[in-house]
Amino acid sequence: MESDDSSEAPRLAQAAVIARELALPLLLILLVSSMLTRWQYALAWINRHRPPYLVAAKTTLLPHVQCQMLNLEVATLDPAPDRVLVVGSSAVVNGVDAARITQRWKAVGVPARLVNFGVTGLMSYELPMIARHLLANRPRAVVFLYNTFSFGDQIHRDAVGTRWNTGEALRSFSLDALRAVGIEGLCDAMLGELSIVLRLRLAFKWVLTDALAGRLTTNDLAFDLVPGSVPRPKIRARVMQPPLLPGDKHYWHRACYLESVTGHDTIGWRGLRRFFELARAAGVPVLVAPAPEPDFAMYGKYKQGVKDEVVDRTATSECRVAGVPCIPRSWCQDLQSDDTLFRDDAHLHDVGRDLLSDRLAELLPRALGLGAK
Amino acid sequence: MNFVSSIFAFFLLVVMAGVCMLRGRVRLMFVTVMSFAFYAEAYPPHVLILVFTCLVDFLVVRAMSACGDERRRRALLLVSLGVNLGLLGWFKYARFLVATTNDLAAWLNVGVRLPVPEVRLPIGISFFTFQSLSYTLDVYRGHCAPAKSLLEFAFFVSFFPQLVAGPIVRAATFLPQVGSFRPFVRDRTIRGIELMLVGYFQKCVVADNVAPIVDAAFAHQEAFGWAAAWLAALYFAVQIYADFAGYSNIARGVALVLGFDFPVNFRWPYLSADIVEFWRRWHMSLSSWIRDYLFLPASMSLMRVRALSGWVLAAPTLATLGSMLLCGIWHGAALTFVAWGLYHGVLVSITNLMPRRRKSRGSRVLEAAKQAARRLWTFVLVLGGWVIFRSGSLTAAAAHLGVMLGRGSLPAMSGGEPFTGLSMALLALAAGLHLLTWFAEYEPEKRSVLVSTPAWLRPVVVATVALTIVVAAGGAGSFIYFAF
Repeated sequence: MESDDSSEAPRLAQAAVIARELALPLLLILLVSSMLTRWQYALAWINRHRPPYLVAAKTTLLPHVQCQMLNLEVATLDPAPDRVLVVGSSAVVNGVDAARITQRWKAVGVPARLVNFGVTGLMSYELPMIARHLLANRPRAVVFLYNTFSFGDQIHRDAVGTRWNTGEALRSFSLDALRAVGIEGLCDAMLGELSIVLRLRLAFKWVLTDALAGRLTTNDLAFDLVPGSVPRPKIRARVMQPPLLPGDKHYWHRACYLESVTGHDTIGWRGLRRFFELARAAGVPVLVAPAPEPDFAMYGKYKQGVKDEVVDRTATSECRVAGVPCIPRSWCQDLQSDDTLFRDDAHLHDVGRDLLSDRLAELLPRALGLGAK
Repeated sequence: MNFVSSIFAFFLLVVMAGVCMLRGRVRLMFVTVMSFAFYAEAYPPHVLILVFTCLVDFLVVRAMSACGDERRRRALLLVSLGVNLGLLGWFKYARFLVATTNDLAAWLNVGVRLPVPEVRLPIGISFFTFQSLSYTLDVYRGHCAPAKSLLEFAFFVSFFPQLVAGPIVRAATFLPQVGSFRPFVRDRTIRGIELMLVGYFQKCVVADNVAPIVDAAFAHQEAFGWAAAWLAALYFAVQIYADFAGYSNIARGVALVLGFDFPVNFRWPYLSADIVEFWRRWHMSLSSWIRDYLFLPASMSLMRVRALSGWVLAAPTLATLGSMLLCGIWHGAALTFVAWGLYHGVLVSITNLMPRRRKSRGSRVLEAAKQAARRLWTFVLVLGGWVIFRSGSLTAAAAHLGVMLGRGSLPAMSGGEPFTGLSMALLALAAGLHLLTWFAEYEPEKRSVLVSTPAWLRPVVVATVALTIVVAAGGAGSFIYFAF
């Protein structure tokens, strides 16, 4: 077929139209996004008006996770050198009361401030991906409180749009892992990486909708689960539940527990090693410790059969190789055996949070050499 | 592939780069391959259906063109019709037909139970089948020259902007454009971008935000009060229009940027003065297809039937009922779609049978009031149709319509959730924009705002609107018409 190209504009003219009419607006969007990530006042204002957990998680968990990341973006802009960041999953979000710890440190003259950098479902492969948040402005130290599912070989599909770094992904992930994310997932991830507006769109939308509806409220709560909203739990029955089997849509989580125990070359363990490298290069000390998980979780459908000590052994060995201090589980063993401190298989109740926070307030200055003034 | 997805953004970038860099047959081949990839993204094996449709219709038309014998030409046309409608029937209606037959057999106490085929519906099969069929029919009637090559024909059938949800493009208008492929012409590109922005606004901001309200409302259809029943119908009317018109505008915008004109598919349908006008403004590419390939031939054939010769209006009325019934079935394999088609068939027939309106001699104000009343009445009739269309069953639809008419359930407002103040504001916004664009006769391809915007300001306007859409968008759902 002969096409009538005689009247068609030359390539350069077409490229100019594309550049001016399509590429320029896109560049503007990226520029605005980039400015927004650095505009502390605006981000802090949006963050202060983010919806509380129960509202945000009403439909799906995604707006809630975006709110957590928004909180993290704001914390990243804090230039104070006295910050000690505690990073981990929702066990950290709801288990570490940063204000309480900072207050206790202040009382005894520890010249540091604790910042809760927990995000729901955070896996250790994501540490290098959010390293730009964790290592920005060179904090005093980063403390990673890991779960026994943290080192699996699975990519958290729902999280890729909110926390992603293509460079790190290409460096650490196998082709199989990338395939599991799928092309659409990777596209979501890359667009999210490019623009904060896309990355945290639902959080922004929530605040905008609240503002339009005239129901904007401030949210100073550092953690998700509202304190005192649930009565203290009782002792749980130790009855084995059938484990989840491959094919179940929630098996993903159980697979992470199993792989954290059996594999040493998972994306989780590789991510931990990579984060150690990045932190060392940035001159930021890292401390690793297990987050308390209730003993009764062993009877649940996810963790069943996964022993803490196996994960702890590998974590200790990885830390030893990298020269990173690792706190043994004994620091929270007694908390784990008290069922009444936990709301569910992963999250501490208010009393448990206070206990864990007090213990961290004592442990960290010694372990990190923060020292009193 | 969904227009509202990140993968489409990257896909479009690659297509644009390729279209800009390549020329001639290679470019045509590139876009065709990309279009097949676009289709394969949903479910790769279904590409084979698309390939098969292209091959059969291309070969049939080639044989038809080379043949002078009318009987043979007609036989070839029947082959094309058989293959296309056979594929459509199997993939879209086999399950429904077998299940209905089994239900009927059970009701009649006949001990027959046919195995229900598990068939996965290929997205957009109704659209590309109709598009491909129109080519065969047009060539057969001599309204269109055959495509010069298989590549050109495959390009026409598979061109990604219209592939899965229309507009249904005719070969006679599209094929000449393939020969003079002129992408990225400045003004047309700007208009295309504007159409895309309008489309994304309709889809993401309006339809996707209304969708959860509609889902929640229709999930509790049995608990409706009078006001809730009307509101649910109203919200669905907004959703389906914004969703489908949004898709069409995005498709037309993308095509325009790449150098192709697609027909207008919607022109303020909810402001029609009667139901016939509604069908001239709603899904125009489908309604004109049905008029040209179903209604007119059926009317002509029925006029030749002796039994009907005594009644002049019998043939067009029967043809209307038949065409609208098929239009309903085209939308899906369910009794609600059948009923929806018949409902519109009856309304169109009644409208056609009514005496034509004479020009009023009354005052302009009175005439305007009458016109407004007519528009409102037509909209109410359309709402009734949407209730049938959206309901899960005919029983649910009948109950819903009964409540709307004041029969049964509570006579007072009992909607509560999901009809919140914010959702009402969204409804008001959608209605306001619909009216505003109608008064201003705003159509991006004719009266583009962006074209008349200073060049330095245009990127700022585009970026601002795009950012607003991104932030205000609802949860990205699939397009309603993907299911058809």
